[in-house]
Amino acid sequence: MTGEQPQPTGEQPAFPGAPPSAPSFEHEIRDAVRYERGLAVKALLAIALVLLVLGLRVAFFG
Amino acid sequence: MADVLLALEWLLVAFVIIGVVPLLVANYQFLLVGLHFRRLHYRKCQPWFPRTAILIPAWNEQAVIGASIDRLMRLEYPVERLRIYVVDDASTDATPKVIQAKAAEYPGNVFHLRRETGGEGKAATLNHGLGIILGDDWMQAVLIMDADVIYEASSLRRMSMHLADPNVGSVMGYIKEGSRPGNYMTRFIGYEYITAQAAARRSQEVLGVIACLAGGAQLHSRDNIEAVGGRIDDTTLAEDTVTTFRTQRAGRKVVFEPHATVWAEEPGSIVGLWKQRVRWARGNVQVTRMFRDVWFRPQQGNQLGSTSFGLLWFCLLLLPVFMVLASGSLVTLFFINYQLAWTAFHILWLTNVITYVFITSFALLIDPAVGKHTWRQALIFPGAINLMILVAAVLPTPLAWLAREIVRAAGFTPTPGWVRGLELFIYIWLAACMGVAYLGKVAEPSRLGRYLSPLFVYIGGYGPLLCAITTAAYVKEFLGAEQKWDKTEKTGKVTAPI
Repeated sequence: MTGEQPQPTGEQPAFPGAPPSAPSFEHEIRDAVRYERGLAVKALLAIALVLLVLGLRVAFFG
Repeated sequence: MADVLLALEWLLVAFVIIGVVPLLVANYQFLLVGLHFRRLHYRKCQPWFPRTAILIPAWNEQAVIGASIDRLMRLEYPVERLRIYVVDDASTDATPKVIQAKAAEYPGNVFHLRRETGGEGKAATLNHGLGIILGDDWMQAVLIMDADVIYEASSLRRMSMHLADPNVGSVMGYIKEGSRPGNYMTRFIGYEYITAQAAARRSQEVLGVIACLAGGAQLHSRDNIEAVGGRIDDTTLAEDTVTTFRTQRAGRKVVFEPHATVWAEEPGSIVGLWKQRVRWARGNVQVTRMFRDVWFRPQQGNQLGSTSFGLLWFCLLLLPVFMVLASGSLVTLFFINYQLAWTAFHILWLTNVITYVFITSFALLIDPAVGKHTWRQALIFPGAINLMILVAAVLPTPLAWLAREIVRAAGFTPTPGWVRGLELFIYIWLAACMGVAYLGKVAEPSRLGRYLSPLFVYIGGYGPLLCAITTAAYVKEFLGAEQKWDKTEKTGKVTAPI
């Protein structure tokens, strides 16, 4: 398959004709990775909530 | 005789405990979402803009097709690398005129492909287009979408960047429910899509296998389309799932790109949802049969045969069976060993509490923007009565007090008989909630349906409604009912709201 080849140096525009102020391709990828890493923290928060509910149940109602 | 009774009791307990399995699997699935960052495909991505043919099946889409084409032409994608092929499936409204006007407005980018005989289903319509697109070598990738969906400007390029890796056969975007103002049903679906798309697809990626490409947002490399036979399966009602399985069996990767957002209009009524989901569920039953040599048989080159994927697949497919089995066993156990029934129920229901709290809170955090719009439906997803039982499992004393006061306020005296009656009701409700949710469908066409059907869904639960639909699909498949393509009605009320 022949797509447009990536630029050799520096950060690449996310798409041809992207305004200079638009986030670069690498910037978008970093954002996406950060979001996905954040999901691990969110999973821990949800687990903490489960433990809190179970803790309350055991503490107050046996 | 005593031995037989004892064996029966433990068999019934086992059936109840089997009801715990889908809950544990659901928790496992969501835990995997937290590990998704370890399996990201971005390292192999680069800005990649293959010549892409966008294939849109259209039947009587006059309300939406013009705006859809306009939006596609504004994608952040080199316009000379885009061609939009609208396969008009013998539309009887103004769809052909709208497409022809757009073809004149965007010469060289928009093409009208007319089928004079329609109604053979989406796969047949897509195959008509694929036959033409594959006829020359212009196309390097094909995007299959629905006529009404809205692609955010960056969506296609966020999908196509994965095709820079030649091992990737297909990429799917994240479909979100976009009806605005919407109603209770579209908000239920909006929340459901966080769990079924944003969460489920991520966890499947962690397992290295995707169950189904979204019908409205799937991008394939040319190599992949040719490798799966150059056409979409038209023998089942689950053509997207068949394509997904065939892609992976051919050794190619299917990628979910959660940041390629696509907005779709989903049914705003139970009748509409029923039609759509019976089709999907029947399709899943057919796929289960079609790929019977895959399940729980690990193979080289794909993870379709892994135990984890098999568990995810069958727990969802057989959920109504688990519910009925647990409910029936508890009711039987209630009459032969009351205390054992209560203990088994506690195990089942405490697992349910953990599952509900974990999945609901995590799902709302996975996509807070959609969660903000749908959190009420998220809370009431299992239904009001199931929710009360969940709360009672966590706060037994206050709820028991409340129940006693309600009985007293109604002019009765609470007795142990009342308590036992309530327990029996709860055991029956585990399966009966599906029937109550089904009543929402029955009531919807009536004069009072506007008020009654949401009430039934709120009481019975949206989750149980989906289980009722799956049950209906089993019945239709068992009876060999006609395989009809009931198209989901679209009105053009979808927007890109966030």
